[in-house]
Amino acid sequence: MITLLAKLLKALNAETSPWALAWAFVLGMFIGLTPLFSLHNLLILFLALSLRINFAGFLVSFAVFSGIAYLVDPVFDYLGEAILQADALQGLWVGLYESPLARLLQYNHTITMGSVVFAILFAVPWLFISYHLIVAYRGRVKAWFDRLRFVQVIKGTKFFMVYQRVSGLRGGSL
Amino acid sequence: MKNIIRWPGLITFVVVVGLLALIIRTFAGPIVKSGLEFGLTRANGAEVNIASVDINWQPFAVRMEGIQFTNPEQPEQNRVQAESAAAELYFWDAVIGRIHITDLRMTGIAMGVTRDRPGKVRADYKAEREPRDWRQTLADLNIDIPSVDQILERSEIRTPILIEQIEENFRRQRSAVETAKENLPERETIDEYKARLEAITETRPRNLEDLARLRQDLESLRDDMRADRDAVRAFVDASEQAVEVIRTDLDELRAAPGQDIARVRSLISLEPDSLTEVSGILFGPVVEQWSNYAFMAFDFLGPMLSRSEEEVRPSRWEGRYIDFDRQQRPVFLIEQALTDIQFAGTHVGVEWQNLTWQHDRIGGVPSTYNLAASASEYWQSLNLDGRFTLSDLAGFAGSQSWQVRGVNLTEQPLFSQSEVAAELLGAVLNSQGEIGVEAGQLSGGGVLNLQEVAVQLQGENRWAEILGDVLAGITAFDLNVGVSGAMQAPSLSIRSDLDRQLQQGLTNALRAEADSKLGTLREDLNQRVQEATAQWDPRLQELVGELAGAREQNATIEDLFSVEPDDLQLGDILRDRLRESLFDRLGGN
Repeated sequence: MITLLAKLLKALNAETSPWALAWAFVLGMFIGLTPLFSLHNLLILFLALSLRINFAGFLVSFAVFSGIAYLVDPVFDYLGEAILQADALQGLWVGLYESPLARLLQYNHTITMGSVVFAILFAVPWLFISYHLIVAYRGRVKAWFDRLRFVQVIKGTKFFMVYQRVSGLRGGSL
Repeated sequence: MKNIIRWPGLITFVVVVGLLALIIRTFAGPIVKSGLEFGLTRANGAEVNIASVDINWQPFAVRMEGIQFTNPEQPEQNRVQAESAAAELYFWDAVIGRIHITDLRMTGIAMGVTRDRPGKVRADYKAEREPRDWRQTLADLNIDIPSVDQILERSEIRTPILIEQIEENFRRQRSAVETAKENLPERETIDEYKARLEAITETRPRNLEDLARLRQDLESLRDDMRADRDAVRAFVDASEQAVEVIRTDLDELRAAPGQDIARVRSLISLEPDSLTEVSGILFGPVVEQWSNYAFMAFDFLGPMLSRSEEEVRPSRWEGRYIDFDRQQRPVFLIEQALTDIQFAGTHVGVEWQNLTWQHDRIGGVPSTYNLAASASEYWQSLNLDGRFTLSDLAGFAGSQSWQVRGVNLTEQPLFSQSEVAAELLGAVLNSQGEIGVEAGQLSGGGVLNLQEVAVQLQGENRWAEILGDVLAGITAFDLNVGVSGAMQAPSLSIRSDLDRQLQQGLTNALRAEADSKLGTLREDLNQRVQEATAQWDPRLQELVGELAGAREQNATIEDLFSVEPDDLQLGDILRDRLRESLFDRLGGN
């Protein structure tokens, strides 16, 4: 985990494209918020592996949003049920019910439906929020951050040694 | 594009997913086998084993070999087992959890077969029914077949007591007669009374003074006779009573031995209530075993029904699946199934149609099953038909009827305890009946008619020996089996004319055993009665003689008393003389 965080910090501090990091956070949010063992997550995993996004950022985002998901599952359940019970959409759901692919995607599961819809709606805002946060971090926060006393302390810790090793291997620097 | 795609990652993903798919396809059989064993074990409550599962992908079919469902109540046996099961089904329907089997074939189905090793029972298994412990019932029945000596002890033989009572009566009567006899007048006294009366009646009064004197003499004589007359009357009364009492007693005494024997014989019969359950005890376990075949269809249907009764408990943390099935296709449907059941050493085919628990979704068409077997060395004919429907409105409803002719029952144990063992050596069974199911509750029953029955019961107890002899003599009887209770846990009740036959047979056996002892008893009682009557008959005759004498004496005294003083009159000549004398005295012509 320490290595993973170190890699994330390296990515944040290095020349990795902010969009690559932002997309990683979006995909991680997607897989983290929705039920893990769902067919759509295979697609998310495929995207995370085959696109040049920051994989460490993806994993950290996945871990963070998995924790959040445990807290908001009842909200997703409520949202999913509202969508699935919406009169206007009944024709669509009834039609999909006969489709094996749709059934494998568990579209009629309340939490799955609620979390996927939320993740889709939240993806674009989260993409831009992530992008701006990364840019802001690199521009202002990093300098301020380095001046903090506890950061100075951290630089003398094992975590920092790991970070340096990772950076050294990849030829990066603070 | 080159900058966007991370080829190593893409290749890794494809390789991993491809390998995963390959593994699933290659090991689909073992994976399905493990999944089925786990799920079926949970449903069955005890270990379920499947020797192997083969998946055929085109067309999609599943074939299972060596299926064994452990009986959770008898883990050393299988509740049901099958040599093989092969089903063709729609793959994509199966993927989304809709089981639509077009053709199912099961072979080598058997029930109650001993396992190689006892199966494991799940800790959370709860018995669906309390098994009836027929052996315990036998112990509770506590059959008491009394010995002849016990019967004699409690039969209150009345003859000896009657002899004592009659002796006492005789003594009392004799005392009364003797007392009365002491007061009887002597014969000379009676003769004297006769002489005095004769003297009075023979005397011709000459005048009124003579007449008055005679009348006075007669009054004096009557006074003298009055006490004696009363004494004779008392003696006659006492004697008459004594003769009556003793005669009645002797008649009663002569009848007493016969009555005693009849009473003892009447006691040599068993309490009707004590044998009402023997047929249940003897044939209960085996009927229960036979009934497993009758309920065979329900064993197949049970899991289906429990599946239909499952309730989904929604949870905000787990979510729920919403049903959008508007095409009303059943979730589970077997269009046709052919099951081969091993029964009594042979094979019987059962055909099933439209097996589902959602009959509303197939237009209300009932599920049906039919068993028809032609004559074989084991039976003349076997027929079993059943149909059922399950709907949201009416619940579970169905019926099953059977007709069995000429089933040759081979040697089989009925029950065995440490001291008693019963065995059915052979019989011919005919049976017919019908069971109905309404809202999951069974009702109905059938008749099992057993002929050419040979039952052997052996034991060290005396009652077991007698019961064994009686059973050996019974060749035919009916068992009326009633079925009730929940479908998954049917309860049986057995009524039979075997109980009545057993009671009759046991009574006869006891009476036969008692006959020699009763003969001795009869001789003994007759001997005592003869001794008593030989002693008292002469005394009775003597009393009768004395009574006759007393009656004669009484008649004599009554005769003497019949002459009243007013009967004494002046004679006609004397009366004329007195009239003339009076006329002269008055100065007449």
